[in-house]
Amino acid sequence: MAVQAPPAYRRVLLIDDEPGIRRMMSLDLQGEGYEVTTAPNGETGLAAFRRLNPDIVITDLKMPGIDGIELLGRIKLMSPDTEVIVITGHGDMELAIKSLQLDASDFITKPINDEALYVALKRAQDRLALKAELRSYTHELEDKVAEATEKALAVERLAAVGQTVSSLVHSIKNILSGLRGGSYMVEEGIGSLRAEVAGQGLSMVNRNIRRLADLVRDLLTFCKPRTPELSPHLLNDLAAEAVQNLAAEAEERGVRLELDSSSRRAWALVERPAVLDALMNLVSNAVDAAAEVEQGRVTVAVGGRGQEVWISVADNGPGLEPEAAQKIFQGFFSTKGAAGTGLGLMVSQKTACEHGGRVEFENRAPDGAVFCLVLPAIEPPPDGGGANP
Amino acid sequence: MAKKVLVVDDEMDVRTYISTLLESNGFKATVAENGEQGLAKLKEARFDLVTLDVMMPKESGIKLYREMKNDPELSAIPTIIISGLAKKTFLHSQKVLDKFKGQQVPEPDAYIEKPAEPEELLVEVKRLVG
Repeated sequence: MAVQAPPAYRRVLLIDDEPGIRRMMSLDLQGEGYEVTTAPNGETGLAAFRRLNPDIVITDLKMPGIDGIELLGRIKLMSPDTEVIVITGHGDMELAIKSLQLDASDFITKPINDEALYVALKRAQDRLALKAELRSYTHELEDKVAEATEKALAVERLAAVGQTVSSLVHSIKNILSGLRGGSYMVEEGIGSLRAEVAGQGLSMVNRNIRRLADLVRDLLTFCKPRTPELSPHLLNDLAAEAVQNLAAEAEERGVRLELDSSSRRAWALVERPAVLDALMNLVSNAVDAAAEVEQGRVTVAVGGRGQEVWISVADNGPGLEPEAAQKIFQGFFSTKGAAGTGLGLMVSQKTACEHGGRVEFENRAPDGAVFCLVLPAIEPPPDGGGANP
Repeated sequence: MAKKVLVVDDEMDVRTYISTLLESNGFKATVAENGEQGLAKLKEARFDLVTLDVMMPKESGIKLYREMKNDPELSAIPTIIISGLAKKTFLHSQKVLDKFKGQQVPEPDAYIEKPAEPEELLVEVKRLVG
């Protein structure tokens, strides 16, 4: 590709300790349209370079003080793109090669031949133009990559929205199926005078109304970004309350739900209702899992180490299948069929994150699973937690 | 003799609903909770019809449907898919699997999107085995 040297690359700094050469060369170069600044030695040359930032430097190699090689090194360090043409004495081939190794653009020998000088200058200008063009291509490419990345992210966001909506639709269709089935059974039971069928139908309707209410509540909790109102609470109290609230449900399902009374005492800053909901979610999941086996058992315990405290919920259910273990924190994934909204664990995880914590799990399939609500620990408050309700 | 229908769905309410609907209309219903259980029941006894959900844990309806259609003993049993998935999504996934596995599987005999209306389901059941 032929590159025309634009007039912009005509600012030249000429450094030579011989006044005659400086005068003669600067006159020649000015006559050719270059803007020339001269310097009599390396030190002055460097100062001029810093001040003027010229496009091209022409420097003699042999000078007292900072010589041409050192000057070349320093200039390349400051500004790798500056073109530096070195002037060598006749027979200084070794120095000339060294300067090329230090990334000099070219060398010309004394006595200076005008034609050789202009060819060297023209090549330096071409290289400057090429570098500028390359920079502009690179910027353009970077802009294009950034634009494409932005577009890809937008597509990904849309896909995530699409997936969420389609999962939500699936959950709602399942609930509708339960409601439709329930209403059919009520009608059928009444029509055929079979009270047990009507009763079963009514239970189905009620169960699916509860599922819909749970789904709406979980969706609202999940969609609402919020900062919890924190106060110090004893996690052991929260654990005991969750166990107490779910004791009847566990008994009905034939699951032994117990609180590990040997647990250590652990304090954390929490918004009590939110964390209690998150914890009850974990306990309720564990009861569902334990109900699948003979002599189902769920144990809730409190623990802590270093800066963290936790409430663990262990069940002796069947544990999680590998596929389920990967998906459980995704929205609308439920291993519980009709019993789950597929949002509960995500909501618990969100609550934990809002408290600076997380939900962890250990899959012990086929011998159960342990879920832990982990929170940052605090020291017991001096009043012994009088703020607790 | 009453025609035997296998109802495969992971949702207990749907199993109860469809089996009650079928039994109230003179059919004999047997239930299974997932594809794996469904296949086991199909191998144990002879059925005249299968109603099959698609998205189920353990083994999906898509897999069971393909297993049935590739098994000479089971391929002739009429099948009604009852799913929350749109029919075209189900058919698309089957086409993709056809290509991927290099085996052509026929379209189901009937497809009903959830929630299944009792009249709609009965019409299809009677059409296929009535």
